[in-house]
Amino acid sequence: MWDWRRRKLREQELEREIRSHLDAECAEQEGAGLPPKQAAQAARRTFGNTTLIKEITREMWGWTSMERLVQDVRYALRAMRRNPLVTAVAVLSLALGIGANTAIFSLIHSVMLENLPVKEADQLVLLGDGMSSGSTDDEPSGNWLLFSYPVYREFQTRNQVFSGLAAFVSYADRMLVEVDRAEPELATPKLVSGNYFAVLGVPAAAGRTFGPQDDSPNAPPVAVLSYSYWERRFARDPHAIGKTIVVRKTPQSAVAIEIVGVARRGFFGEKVGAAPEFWLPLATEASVDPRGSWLNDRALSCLQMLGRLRPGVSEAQAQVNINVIFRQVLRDYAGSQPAAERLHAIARTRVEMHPAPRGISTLRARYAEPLVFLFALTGAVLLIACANLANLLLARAAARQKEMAVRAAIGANRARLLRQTLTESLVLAISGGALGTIFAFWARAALVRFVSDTPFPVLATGINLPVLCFTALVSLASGLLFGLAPAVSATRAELHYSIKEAQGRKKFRIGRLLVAAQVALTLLLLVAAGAFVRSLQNLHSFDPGFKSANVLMFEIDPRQTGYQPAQINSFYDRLLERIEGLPGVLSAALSRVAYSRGIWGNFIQISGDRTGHIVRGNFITPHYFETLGIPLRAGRTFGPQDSLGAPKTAIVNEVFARKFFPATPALGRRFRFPDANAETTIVGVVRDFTYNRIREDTPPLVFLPYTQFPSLLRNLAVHTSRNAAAIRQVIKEVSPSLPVLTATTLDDLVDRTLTTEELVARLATFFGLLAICLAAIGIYGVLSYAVAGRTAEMGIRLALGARPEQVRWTVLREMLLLIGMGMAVGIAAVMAGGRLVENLLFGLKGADPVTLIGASLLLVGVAAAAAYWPARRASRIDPLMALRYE
Amino acid sequence: MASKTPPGKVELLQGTLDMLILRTLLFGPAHGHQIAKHIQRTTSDVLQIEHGSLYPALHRLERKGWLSAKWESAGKDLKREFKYYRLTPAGRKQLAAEESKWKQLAAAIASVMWPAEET
Repeated sequence: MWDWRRRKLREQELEREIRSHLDAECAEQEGAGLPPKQAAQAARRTFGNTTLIKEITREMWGWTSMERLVQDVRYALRAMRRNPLVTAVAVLSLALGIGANTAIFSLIHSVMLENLPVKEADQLVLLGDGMSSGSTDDEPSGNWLLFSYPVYREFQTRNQVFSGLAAFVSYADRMLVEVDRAEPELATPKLVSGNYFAVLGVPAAAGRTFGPQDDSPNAPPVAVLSYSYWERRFARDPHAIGKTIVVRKTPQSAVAIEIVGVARRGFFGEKVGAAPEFWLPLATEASVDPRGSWLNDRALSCLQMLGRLRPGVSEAQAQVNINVIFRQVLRDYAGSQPAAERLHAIARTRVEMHPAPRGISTLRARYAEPLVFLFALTGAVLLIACANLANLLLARAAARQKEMAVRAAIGANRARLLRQTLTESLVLAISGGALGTIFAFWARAALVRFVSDTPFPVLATGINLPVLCFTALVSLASGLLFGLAPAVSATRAELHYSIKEAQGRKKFRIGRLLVAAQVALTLLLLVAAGAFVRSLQNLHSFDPGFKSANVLMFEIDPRQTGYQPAQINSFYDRLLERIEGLPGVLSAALSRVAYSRGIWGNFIQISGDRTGHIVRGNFITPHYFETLGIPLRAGRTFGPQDSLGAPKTAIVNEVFARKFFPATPALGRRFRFPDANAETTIVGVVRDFTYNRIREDTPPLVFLPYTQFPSLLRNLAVHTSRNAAAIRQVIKEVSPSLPVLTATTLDDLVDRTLTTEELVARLATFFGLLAICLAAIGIYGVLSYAVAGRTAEMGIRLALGARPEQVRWTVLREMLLLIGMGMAVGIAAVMAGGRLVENLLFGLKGADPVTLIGASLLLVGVAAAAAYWPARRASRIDPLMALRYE
Repeated sequence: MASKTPPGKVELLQGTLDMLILRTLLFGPAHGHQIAKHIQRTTSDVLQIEHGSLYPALHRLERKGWLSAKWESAGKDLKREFKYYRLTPAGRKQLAAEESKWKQLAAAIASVMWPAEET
């Protein structure tokens, strides 16, 4: 900038100097007797061309790099303005390519790469695997994934490796709360230790976060809101602080929790994709956790921990230290005379520990593969767009050979010309990148809306600095990619300008190679798109084994009704009776888990065999199979005879029957749960149906009557022609305090498990179509250019008597050959790469022949059509016009 | 560039303009117009200084450190300001060097053009 200003001064000074010279000359001429006007003219005449002199003097000073850049950019903009249509196509295709890359990368960034928005996230380690959530009374020998509160306190006080250790409950249930004396609404509170915010280094945006005092059992209950909840619910009103949130674990009990602060903007907790509305100290768990009080229960493990390593302490050292403490603690808990077996198990226990700069993310596991795949697709689209631009610029470089030669002749050196041509490409690339960023903002919001289950986006971080850096890099890289070859070729012109013919042909070879590459890439994209669309169709037409039409699904939380375990079954009965009594309701059932909503599993032993087998299953009310339209294959469903005192009964699926009783009927056979004394008898077999997700093999399933196996039934299914509101009304009448967490249809639940597939299929289709458009533009452009270059030749051919079809064919043949080459490469790549995506497909083998043939036909059709028009133009050349051309 | 040279006038040889400027300034500081006029007059208008080359040359010499420049008022009632160039010690040295080079060159050319008949 300094240079720039000094230059301005110098410029003014030169101006002044020349003026003074002219004045002196003028005075002299006047002295010689000329009238003033003529004197001035004479002075000017003797001096010569002032602009030229200034120019030469300036040239002598030498250009600053800054000035050159400004010049080049100006020149590039002028060139772009001169050709608005070409520029629009170029910038738009680049914008789409770069925008798509940016949008997908921003998702990859926030799902897979981004650190938690906390202080020095690199120091964080997670105790536990981050995937498990819930509570357990298991004491595994081996890796522990969840911990009890007393264990946390021991770790906290005895470790020498962490500067801070925070704990949080591994699950977060939605519940009904009354915020600021309003009607009950659903919110997700999350229980964390008092030092949670301090350890993570997250300050308050308003009020305060928790302190150690909030952890003591007698502390008044307090809450810290998340910023997004504060925004949504309170419109960032500072007076939200001091207001209360009333939590009713049961209708009778009510705990008023005071809002003391709001966490920093952008902080969503330690789990990516989850966004609790507010945090509560662990000390309040007894009054809010519907699962009951467990704070001082050594045997109930439901916590995970995040530790901040002391400077200089490695993760391995931390692991050793924590494991030693853990075994000591377990040894203490085991009492004075533990069994040898127990001691042996304790010696083998260890705490699973992972570096956790990015926090916990289940989204990562779910979306990593599809996102990386989509990223590859967008990369291919960008490459195709780059190839188009390279072709365009090559054509322009050819058209500018004369200009370049003249510039070289008057002394521009090659580096300067090269830089100027590259600047033009970069200006194009940057314009495309800027427009692409705008496009990406919009695309990202749409993508996030598509993948999140919640109505508000949980991945709120959006397009931030690293993502913008990525966009800038991609823009520059693509600018270089498509600009380098044309620039080199354009500036090479002056060396052998005279052998123009050879030059033109050589350049066209690059263009043709680019077309072949485009065709190959496009074929890959089309095959991918086709494969995903077909995979999605397979998924949609897949019969899950249950009838999802006209089934409403409600998620409820009976714990907040305040019923004691002894009364809860009669509550279930009353609820179902009322719902089934409603006109238009065919049947209704309650179950513990539902399709895509959790799994339940346990070990069993078949009688007469001591080996344990893992089975999955559900706890159900009698009309469960009827409601879901699952036919009975043998035996009976549950009825009043399966009462609490009666012998225990179960219904199994066909997989279960086949697996455990391959030779004999399963009816009447028995098995046992490890923690039960009595055996359970199989009284029915149902047809197989999809248990949790479509894309999994049906496991052996066990269904247990809720009467004999008391369980929390959280899912209500209603087969009805009525709408959800009517059912909600009945639920409200039966129990005003029963929270309905969600209401949807079973169809919708099934569809929602396919969102990832749907997203990938839609995006792949979009990218495939984009690619084919770009490729068509490329083919059309290259061929048009080639035809224009051969106008004279075509004219002569026609003049000598060639028929138009022959000329057309000459032009077409060459292009078809190229398209064929590209297709061959593309097909080879599909064959080789098909296996890589097999994981993502359903019901398809890697290189699906139907998709491949379909994609090839489409591509050949579009490419031939794009090539036909220039060919037609070639055949209609007027020989006379052609000969005069050039 | 292909301007015709008026009859009776000689185009400057490449590289000699610098020397002439330096030599002119040996008499004392002068501005561009004065320098041009001086050369023109002392050569009886044989050497026409092209202003197109004078100013770039002045700026080049200033940049090399052979000249220094200063804005000063001059003319009647000091109304006009001129940029006065002055020879620096380095410029003096350069002038001496160029002069001796020129002398050698001139002698060499002379010995080719007019072989030593007199001796």
